Amino acid sequence: MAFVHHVIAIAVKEVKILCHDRQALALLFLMPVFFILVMSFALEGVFDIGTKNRPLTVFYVNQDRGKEADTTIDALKRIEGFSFLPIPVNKTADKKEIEHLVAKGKHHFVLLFRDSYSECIQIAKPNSDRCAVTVHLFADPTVNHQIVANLNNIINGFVKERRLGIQLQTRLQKAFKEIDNKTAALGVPNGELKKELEKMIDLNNLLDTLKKANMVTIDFLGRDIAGRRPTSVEQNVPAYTIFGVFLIVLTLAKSLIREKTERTLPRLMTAPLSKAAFLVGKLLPYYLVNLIQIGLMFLVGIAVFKMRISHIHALLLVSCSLAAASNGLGLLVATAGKTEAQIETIAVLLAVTLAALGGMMVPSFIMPGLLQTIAWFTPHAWALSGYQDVIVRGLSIKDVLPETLVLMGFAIAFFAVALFRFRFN
Amino acid sequence: MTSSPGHNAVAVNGLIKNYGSLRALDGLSFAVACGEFFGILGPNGAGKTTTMGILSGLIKPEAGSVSMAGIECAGNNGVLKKKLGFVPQELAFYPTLSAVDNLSFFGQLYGLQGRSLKEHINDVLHIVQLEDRKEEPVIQFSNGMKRRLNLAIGLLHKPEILLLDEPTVGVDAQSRNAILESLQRLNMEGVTILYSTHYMEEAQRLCGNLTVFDHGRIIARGSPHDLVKSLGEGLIRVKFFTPVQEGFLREIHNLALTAWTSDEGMVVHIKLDSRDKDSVIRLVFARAETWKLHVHNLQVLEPNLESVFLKLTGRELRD
Repeated sequence: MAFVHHVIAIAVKEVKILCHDRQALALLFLMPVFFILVMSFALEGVFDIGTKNRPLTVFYVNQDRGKEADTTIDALKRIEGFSFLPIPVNKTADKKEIEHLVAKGKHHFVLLFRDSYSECIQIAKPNSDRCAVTVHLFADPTVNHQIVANLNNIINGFVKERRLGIQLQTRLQKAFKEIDNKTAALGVPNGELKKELEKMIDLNNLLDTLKKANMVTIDFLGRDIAGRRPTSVEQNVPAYTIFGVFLIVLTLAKSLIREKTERTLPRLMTAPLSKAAFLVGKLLPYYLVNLIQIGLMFLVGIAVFKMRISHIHALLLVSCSLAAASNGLGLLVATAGKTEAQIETIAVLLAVTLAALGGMMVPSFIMPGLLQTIAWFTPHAWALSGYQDVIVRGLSIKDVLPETLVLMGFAIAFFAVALFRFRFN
Repeated sequence: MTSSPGHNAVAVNGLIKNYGSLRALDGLSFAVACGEFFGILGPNGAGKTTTMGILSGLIKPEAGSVSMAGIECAGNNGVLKKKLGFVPQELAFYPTLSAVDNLSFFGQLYGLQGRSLKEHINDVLHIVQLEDRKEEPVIQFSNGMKRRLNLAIGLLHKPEILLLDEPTVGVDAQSRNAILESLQRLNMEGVTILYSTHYMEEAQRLCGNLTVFDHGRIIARGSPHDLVKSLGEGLIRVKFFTPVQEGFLREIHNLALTAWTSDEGMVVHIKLDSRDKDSVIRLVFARAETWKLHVHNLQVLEPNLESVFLKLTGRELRD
């Protein structure tokens, strides 16, 4: 019973001290909320670009003398997530003129169909220089190279498909005609063999199939649950929540080091108080603060950005293990320095480095391979994976168990090393 | 609140404590009777804080034993800790909280709750005269008020034995007086007090018995009265420009005066007896002239604990 009373007394004292520390409260609550709001709005385009809601605009200049460029553009316009618009420049504008427009930052992407586009598509000798099908894609150098590469692949695919379709049809019809001519001499009625061959090959169906070859449907996980793709908010809210949760490392470590520098810890050790009661009482408020932080951040996500959470229990499980890991790290950092200044330096360095490595600031999928591997050595990456399982992928408790266990593993490791190093006297 | 009779409140036997190659305590032994106001006097670095640290359970000695209130001090003894109040040399409380919040927190650690806790808080606030400032954050207190709160936390649970490690360091005269009066009242109520200080006036005013420490050893013990009495009428301290010769010292002894040197023979201490101190000074000057010694300065020291320490160590207590 004394243990419980002691834990409560220490926890209440800690909450009172924390309530007087406006700087710490601002750091723990306002900063992550601020980050969530600013970054979610600022990065909306980065996460949503190329979706139905926020299509990527590509301008084009059509100088084609024939109709093939129009057909290709019509096909491109049907792709979800892209918007192809004619550029209002002189139809005879040369490459330099278009380059100038892109360089000025007026347009991020411009496609140029040269005047010989239709001819080149139709010419049956693709190896000759004259008929090389060239579509120029002018891209702003500041644009993400991945997006440029994707766009390039899409256009390439459509042009190839168009060319192959036309070439195949032209060549087959030419071949049928020649066969007809040759068989007519043998007494076979004109056009009969051609009909038979077309029937056997099912040419129209073949051409239809060819047209649909590029129509790969991508089903995003969670689409059926939320009815929509993940937004930048659903990416940013968990990321900056985790970032905010780990800011407790600084507050907790400073609080512990103050118990030493202000000599209250030795005084407490002269009281009939167990070390375990001291630590539990000390950590309990910070653990609860972490959970309140998480709740608040997700409430902001729900209230301001209409974020949806399908499995609240799974979210709670990840949150509890995340808070345990951050508290463990706070205790560990408290053993790493002797002064508040030392603790501050270590805690801030860890908070920023681990957040960056763990994919809080920059999504880990765009990091180099080695960094992506290193990310899994941070509790941040596991927590983010757990949250994304729940929010973005709509998964349940059993699906977030691996992340939960790893986070608990981090917590146990942090606590074990910290308790080994912590000096009460 | 008082220790049970029939045993010493504190018994210390053969304590040894080293910090690296430095021996902080060298076989320290003493006993404190129940209800006694016991002083530990010594200069900075004498081993007073280490002794207090061991008594309060914060520091583990390399050898020796301590028992308090009849209980052997070993491990985390909750029963003993409840009988013990500790006032550390440093201010040890939470500065952003109020005096009441601090007291309430520490009181709960000693098992006080509800009405009893409130009564104890009011009592100690009255003792240290902080009732009118009890709701203010401690950070706004003067140094003297902080010292009084530091003391109040140690008194809160009404301990049988109170350990005070230089509780008046850096305190203004008014606060010091308030603290010392509070302690005298508590002692009169039966609390055994161990009081470490390097202020000889405090030791002289408060303590029934004291030990004088230097370099981790006890160099004198007894009541302040007895220790001072051993000095007779006081001391004359003469500092010369050059070290004195043995012949000069012998001649002083031949005058039936007790004298000894310090500071590599540059300083001579002479114990005053019933003779008139002016006549003794004249005798000393005359001998110095004979031995061609030039006096740098001369001090007549009153018979007090400071002079006792000087006599024992050749150094001043505040060195």
